[in-house]
Amino acid sequence: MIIEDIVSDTFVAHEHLAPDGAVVLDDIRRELTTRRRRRVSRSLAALGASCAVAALAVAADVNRDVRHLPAVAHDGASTGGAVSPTSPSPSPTSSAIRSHRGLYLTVGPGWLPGSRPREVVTDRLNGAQLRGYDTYVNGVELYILVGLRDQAALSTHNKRGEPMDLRIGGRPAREWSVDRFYYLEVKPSSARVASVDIEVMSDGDAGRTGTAVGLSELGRQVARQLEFNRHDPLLPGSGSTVSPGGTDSRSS
Amino acid sequence: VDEGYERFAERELDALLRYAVMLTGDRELARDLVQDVMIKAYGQWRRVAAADHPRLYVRTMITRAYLSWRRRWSVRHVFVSFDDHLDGNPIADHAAAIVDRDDVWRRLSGLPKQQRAVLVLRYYEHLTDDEIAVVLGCSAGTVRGYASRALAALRVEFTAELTRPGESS
Repeated sequence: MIIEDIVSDTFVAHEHLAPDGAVVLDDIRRELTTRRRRRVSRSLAALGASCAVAALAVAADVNRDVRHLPAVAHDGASTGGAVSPTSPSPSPTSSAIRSHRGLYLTVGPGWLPGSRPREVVTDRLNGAQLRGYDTYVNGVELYILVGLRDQAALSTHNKRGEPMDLRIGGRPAREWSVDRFYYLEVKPSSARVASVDIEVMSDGDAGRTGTAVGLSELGRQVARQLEFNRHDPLLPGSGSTVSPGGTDSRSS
Repeated sequence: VDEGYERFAERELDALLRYAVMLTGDRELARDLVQDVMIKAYGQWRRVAAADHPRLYVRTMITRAYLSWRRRWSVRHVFVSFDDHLDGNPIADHAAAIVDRDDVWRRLSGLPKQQRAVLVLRYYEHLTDDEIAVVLGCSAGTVRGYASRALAALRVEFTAELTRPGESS
């Protein structure tokens, strides 16, 4: 037997060492899911940090205002003077957020691109809300994150390039776009900022693909149809197929 | 996960794992290698799916990942150089006397990675030298060089085994 035949036979004789493909495929699926959730966690952490900064700023403002008011006991009763301070009434929506903190989401997409977008995560952190969707547009997988947080002004910086100001549904907005990433902020009210964050997931040929699917147009359209009075249960780690806004999602 | 990717994985994963085992000689390394590459392939799936032969495309990714996969590999393997043996006289092919495949398997693990990859592609995947050259990103002449050195090294081992005092028949 010549050496080449021995080598060939040796390879075939050791095929049984190969791991079970089904088991490895399960591991791969888990890893892909983990990576996606990790990315959402990072986004949430970033949102949480923004909220924390905003909360500190608000607290500083409140403290400054309180110094000019009559002393107030912790139970809210005035301890002196005839004037009782009244805090501004929160909007119905923000009231709903507080009373259902951790249980409901008020923001949601009224429209998402692709034929069957799938909600893969919902979460809240420090009052910030986030909903993540997987969808396919022209065969390209997109990951779309819709968020809402307490923030007085649109962000000024983002690692995704230079900002561009625009108006979405008559509201001030700002967007950033680079390669396969797109990020847009819009102000639905004076105290809150909503965001639409899109990333091309399924192809490493970033610039060409991002341009090919028209991320800017998709992002603006999602932002135009955001809904802010939803009352959707928070489903951490959910993975059900959804029709945003209770209507059939339209294909782009 | 993309449906096309799922179908591809379900159809091809076993074969890719077998191929990876031939390259690495180790079940766990093969699993890690294929898993890493398949996750990378998912990120580039549009490009992979557009290839004429997605399986060949991914096999090439596995091969190149294996060749550049130094850290974990080096932890578990110590390479043995056979080059010193190649300066001796031409040795006749006495391999017929040794058919213990486990022994051959062990000796294959001592080959440099490029040489082993060439042997796997040539004698397991049955590719031509030109096809192997495409996978490795080198010339067909380089492929032939790797192959001849690998086979010569194995022959030297066999011969040394046969001529060891008290062991030859």
